[in-house]
Amino acid sequence: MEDYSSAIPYLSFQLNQDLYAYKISDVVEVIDLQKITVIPKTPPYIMGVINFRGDILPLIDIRKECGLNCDSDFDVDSVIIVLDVNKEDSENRFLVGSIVNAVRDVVEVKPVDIMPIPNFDNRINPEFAEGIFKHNDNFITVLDIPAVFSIDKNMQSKQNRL
Amino acid sequence: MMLEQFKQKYIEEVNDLLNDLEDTVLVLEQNPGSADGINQVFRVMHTIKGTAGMYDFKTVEKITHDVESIYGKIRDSSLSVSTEVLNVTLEGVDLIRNLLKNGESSLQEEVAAFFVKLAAVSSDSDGGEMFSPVGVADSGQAGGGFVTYYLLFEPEADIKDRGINISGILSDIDAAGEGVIMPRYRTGDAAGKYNTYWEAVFSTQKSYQDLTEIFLFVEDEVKITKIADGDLFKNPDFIAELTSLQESEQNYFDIGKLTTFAGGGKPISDKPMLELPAEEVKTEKKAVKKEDTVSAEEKIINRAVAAADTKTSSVKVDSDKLDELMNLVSELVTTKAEMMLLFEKYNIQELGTLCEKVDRLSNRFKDNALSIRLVPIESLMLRFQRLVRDLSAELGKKIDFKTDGTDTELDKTIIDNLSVPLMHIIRNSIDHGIEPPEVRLANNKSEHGLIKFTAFYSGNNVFIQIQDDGAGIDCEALRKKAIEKGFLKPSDKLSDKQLMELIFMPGFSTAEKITGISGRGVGMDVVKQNIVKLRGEIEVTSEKGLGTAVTIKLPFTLSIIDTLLVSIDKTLLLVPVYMIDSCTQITRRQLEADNGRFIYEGEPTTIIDLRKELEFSGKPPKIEHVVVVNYKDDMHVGLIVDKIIGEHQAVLKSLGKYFANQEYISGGSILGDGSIALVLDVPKLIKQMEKSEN
Repeated sequence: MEDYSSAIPYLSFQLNQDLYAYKISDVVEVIDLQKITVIPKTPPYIMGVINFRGDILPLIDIRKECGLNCDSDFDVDSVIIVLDVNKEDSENRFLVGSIVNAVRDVVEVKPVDIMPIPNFDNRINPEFAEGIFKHNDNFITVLDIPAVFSIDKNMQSKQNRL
Repeated sequence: MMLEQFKQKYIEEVNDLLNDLEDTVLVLEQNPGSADGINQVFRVMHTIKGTAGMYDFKTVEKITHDVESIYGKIRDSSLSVSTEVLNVTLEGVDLIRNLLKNGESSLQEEVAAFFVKLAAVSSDSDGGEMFSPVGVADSGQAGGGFVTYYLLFEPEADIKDRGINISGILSDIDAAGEGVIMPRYRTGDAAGKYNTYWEAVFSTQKSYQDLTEIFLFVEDEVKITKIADGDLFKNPDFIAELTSLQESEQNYFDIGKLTTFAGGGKPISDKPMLELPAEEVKTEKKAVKKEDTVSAEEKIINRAVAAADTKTSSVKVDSDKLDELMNLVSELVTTKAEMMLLFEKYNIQELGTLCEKVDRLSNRFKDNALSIRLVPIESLMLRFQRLVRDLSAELGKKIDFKTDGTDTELDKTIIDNLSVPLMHIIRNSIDHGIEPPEVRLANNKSEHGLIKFTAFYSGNNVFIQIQDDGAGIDCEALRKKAIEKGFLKPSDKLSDKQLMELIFMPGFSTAEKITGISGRGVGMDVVKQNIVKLRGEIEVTSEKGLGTAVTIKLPFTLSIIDTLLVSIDKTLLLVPVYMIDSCTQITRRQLEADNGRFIYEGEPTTIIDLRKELEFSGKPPKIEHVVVVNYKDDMHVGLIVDKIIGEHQAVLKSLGKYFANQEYISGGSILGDGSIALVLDVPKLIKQMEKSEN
């Protein structure tokens, strides 16, 4: 059982004008935007691959993957959050880069303060989010990392594409 | 503890030697006259024997000793290589393996039976020594129903003409109890007598009556004398006396000397103590004599080979350490590329020389590190050859096993995990595929079935194919079975290919009868699981009456390959060098004029416009390049790219699970400047093209 009274640190970041957060324990590193190698014939949410300390990492635009608002574009100030997906499951574990407009700060939140997403939220499909919390008058959406970066779903959308 | 360790090491070494030996025996089967083969068996047996005693493997020592003497005889041409000899040799190999594994006290019955067979083989042509198994006899009291006999068997000259099976008689004697059988050769003239006679001293629980039955047809040629009540073989003094008698130059045993032990012989422990050095000395003398006739040079070579044979020691390394080594090598190769880049930028002469040196060293280092992990598929073949041989004999089928491309190398972990699934596939071919000889003849096929094992590289993969020319799979029968088992509804319409896929369903087996070998329905699904675990694919194709082919595709784990770096727009692509035939320039206009065709070596060749195929949006440059790849059996395809940049030694990296289904890219590699180049999966690309054209 999770201890609902002790706070967990989250890394909040900005995509367009909206705020989101990843659980900090899943974040490996935040790196500057770097040369992206585009892979031909891949779905639009896969921006390409990057060289992360000698390893090749897929770079994902979660806005396109999760159907979020895609109004503004990434620029030189954008950063990449490197995530360790499925940390506990050695068979399905992998690193992935998530491109965002800017990283904000580390926020400590008690699980009890995270509220569920309303079923018909027009900003995000509830299946991709763990919940939402309020911080300094802003709503921050906590993303469900395994759900967002699930390979099964990628296969699925791939199949749909074909 | 130390001894235990050495013992373990010894067992490992012996197992290695036995593997080689099996191979040799199979070679001998094809080519019975091979002196090398015979010597090899002799040597291996000798080597194993040499140390067996040290670790108290008395039975192993005995087996190797006896097999060695058989090959000694073959070497001296007093015996020839026959199927029986080879069978008994292989049986001995198995026995030694099991004895080492399960301990000497196991398998007593098998050991006893083995020695009987051995004796029969050994005495086939001219009679031979035979020894009863050690430690098999009852360890009862002095009496215990045992009687020790002396036996003299002096056949008449016409014994063979009378249809008497001498070796049968000898093995019956041997089976009667523990003892020694000594063949003697007549030197002078003995009118009317066969050129060999046998003396035996043995203890048995059989009654005199039973013994005489053995000699029913040769009664007059056999003399049985009782030496003593009880088992004199429990008495070391008796054995010593017997040994000295065997060594003496006399023509017959001095029975008087042996009978002195009657009554006086005190039963001591039942520890095995039958040592028969006489025979061994004889063989070795002959061997020495033979060696005298060969040149000094050959002698040295022979000795070197023998020495090499005994030195099959290996170092066991944790596979994690190997992985770490590969990582380090990869980093080194990348760093080297960075350094080369630096040199090109500043063009410092001294740095250039250094770069070249580092390049050479790192290349060798890389090759070496890679080779450590790679094992030729050959290492599995022995097992399969043996399987085909034994199983076909058991099933009364005649099967040739042919291999091709067994020098194809794969990562050790893959090889280790391939053995079981491949074994199963071959077993299926033998059991269900190849028909019995009568059926084959009736179907206008050659009596001998063929199982062909082929391995080859293709692009980033290794393919393994097992083909047989047997009965094939009857799709209709398959369908019926599937409906019967509830895998299919009668209304389901499946293509033949889809039907074949059913073979891999758990619990599906088409064998009509369940044999001990296959047909229990826990086969192909497990095979498939194993292959999928290795990130491989498996496919079965079959034609009724003509045969079945199972094709396995495995990832190419060579993690560093030489590639040609090319580009389209800003994207860098890598083409494995071994696939490339040539490169040439081409213009769009020329291409259009030739109707999209390209002439290579006088032949119109298919062109793949990668820019179009990979959906690049930009405009092509004026002059493009064609990279001609040879993808299979001299079939060529031209790949159109923008630019050819140069050679690149690519450290292959996986693109990760996100791209597992990517059709054209099989991996990536990081260049010296940190940018990423993508490895083109040429075979897949061509396959896709073929598909879309159909």
